[in-house]
Amino acid sequence: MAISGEATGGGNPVIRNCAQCLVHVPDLVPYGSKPHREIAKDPAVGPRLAGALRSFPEALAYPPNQTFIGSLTPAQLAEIPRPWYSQTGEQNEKPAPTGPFGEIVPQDLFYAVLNAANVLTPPLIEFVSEHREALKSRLADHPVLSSFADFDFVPEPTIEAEIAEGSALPLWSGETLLGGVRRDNRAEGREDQYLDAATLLETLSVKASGAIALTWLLHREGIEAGEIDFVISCGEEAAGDRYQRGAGGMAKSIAEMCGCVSASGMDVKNFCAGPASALVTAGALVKSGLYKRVAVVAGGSLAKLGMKFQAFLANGMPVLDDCLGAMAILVTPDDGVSPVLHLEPGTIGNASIGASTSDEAVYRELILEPLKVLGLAMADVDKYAPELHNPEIMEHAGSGDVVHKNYRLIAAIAVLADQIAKAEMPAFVEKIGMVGFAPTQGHIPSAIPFLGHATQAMRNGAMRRAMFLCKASLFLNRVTELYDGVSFVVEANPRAGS
Amino acid sequence: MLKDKKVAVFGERDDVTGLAVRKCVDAAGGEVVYEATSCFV
Amino acid sequence: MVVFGLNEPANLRIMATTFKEGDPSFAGALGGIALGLKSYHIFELKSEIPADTWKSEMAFEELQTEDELIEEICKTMREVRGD
Repeated sequence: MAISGEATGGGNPVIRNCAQCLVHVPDLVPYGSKPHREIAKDPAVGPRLAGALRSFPEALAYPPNQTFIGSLTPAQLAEIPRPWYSQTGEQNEKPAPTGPFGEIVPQDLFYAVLNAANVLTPPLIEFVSEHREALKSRLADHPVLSSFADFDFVPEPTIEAEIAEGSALPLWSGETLLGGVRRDNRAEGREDQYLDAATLLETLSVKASGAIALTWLLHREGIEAGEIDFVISCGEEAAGDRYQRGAGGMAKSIAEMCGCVSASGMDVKNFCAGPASALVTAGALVKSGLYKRVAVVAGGSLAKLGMKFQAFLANGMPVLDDCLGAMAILVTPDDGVSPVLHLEPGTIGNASIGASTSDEAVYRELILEPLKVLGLAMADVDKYAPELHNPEIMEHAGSGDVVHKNYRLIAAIAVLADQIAKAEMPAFVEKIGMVGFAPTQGHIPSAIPFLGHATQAMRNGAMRRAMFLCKASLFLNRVTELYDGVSFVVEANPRAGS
Repeated sequence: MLKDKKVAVFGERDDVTGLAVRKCVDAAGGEVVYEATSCFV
Repeated sequence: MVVFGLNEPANLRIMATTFKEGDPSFAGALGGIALGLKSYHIFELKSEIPADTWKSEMAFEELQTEDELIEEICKTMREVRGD
């Protein structure tokens, strides 16, 4: 459906579309921060980890992953008995790799996209002669991602020799060596500790996974890449070199790869609340009339792969944090149909620095203040989406069900605001809550995975309002004790159906 | 019981933060000599 | 002494035991070395904290945590201390 006329300032923007994808990369799990460090301390860990990695069919059939791409709703996921990882896809009809919101991408396809993401000569990533044509043609045959297959190979690959001498990181597919990643060995990069192969693999992975999500967004919306006029990236990576370590440029790198020739862009950083901050910024840019089609993109975090692997090994479970998450959201002026992002003054929940002296003050600001401005009681919001970590991962990792803790927090605020009684807390949580389903990946599970489900339900008339509540552990930067929060309310379009 | 004691504080972002515990210990006359808040996600 | 704000009884038991008796798995640097430190959870120390501080810092935390969990936490800490 067309967007109404020229961009006009004033009214609230809408969440026009979104894409939610997962990239299954079991052989990149050893390069996650925790696995990498543990293997370095004790090489025997490597084979034990390798023995617990999942196959693509297993990752595909995994119900939380199916929920991330929209093939299951959170309510349907809650009905499936635990352990969810026992659903290996053998007993039932094999689920499709694509769902309403996007795709679960297999590893080989992602390796090809990584290759496509390289821009340097000599390339940062190189595949061995034997397998590279197959990797490329698999990408060329993909119904949505085939545009990425337009790249060339080096005439004489040297990557195998470099891996053998230890100067490049191997890229495996099980026992088969497919290729490798090298550091920036050019004069400018040779002595730069921040341009090692591991860091560059991380950066390339953000670009490649972000580009997959953005391409899916364009595909779902049915628009050309050139129609996007601004892109905001919001991951937690630090892209740059020794002099500008986290200076960014990921939004435009991703947009360039996807052919968004009309777009400019920037990176927004706010730890786990990055996507929420980016979405608010995107909405404000649209509301001001500056831009008409703003895409918020989040690539996945390689560093967080396998973070809880020790818990899985200890419990005889498969490694469940083996997927990169990637999301893209399209924000446009009001089209009369799509769910509205509230951006009236006071309707975005902030944690002001002054309030950050106490937890209670922070959450009153985040939750109660915006609802007060909107004239709403807490019960007027159908669902609250806090961090949505998969409980199957978090409970075995010894953190308990973090999603449930977040809902206890929300219910506690309702009690302190005299809107419910303490005894009503469990029933309130049941009403406004849901089960978690997203990978433990910082900015990825932080509320936004519910956006696809919420906007779909609102379009179907099944939901009126949802509040998205993101927390950010700013104190992890070591120069503050603060943590941050951002909340926003999305509501079914009042003009829809008229 | 806390007065004049040297205290190490271990908080958790999704439970009780180190900051909240520290404020309580300070108010009770204790001295926080170590503080960490973990973020397991 | 040590004061905890984390609410997982299993983790509390391991950490509190380590500070008292040394690493129970004997795997780490503190294996076999008893520091003899007493550990408490902040929920146990309500009577030690001035009421207005407790109200502004901890009332919200208490409300969030299920009564049964608070009991289990306090029981775990008492067991480790040997009270």
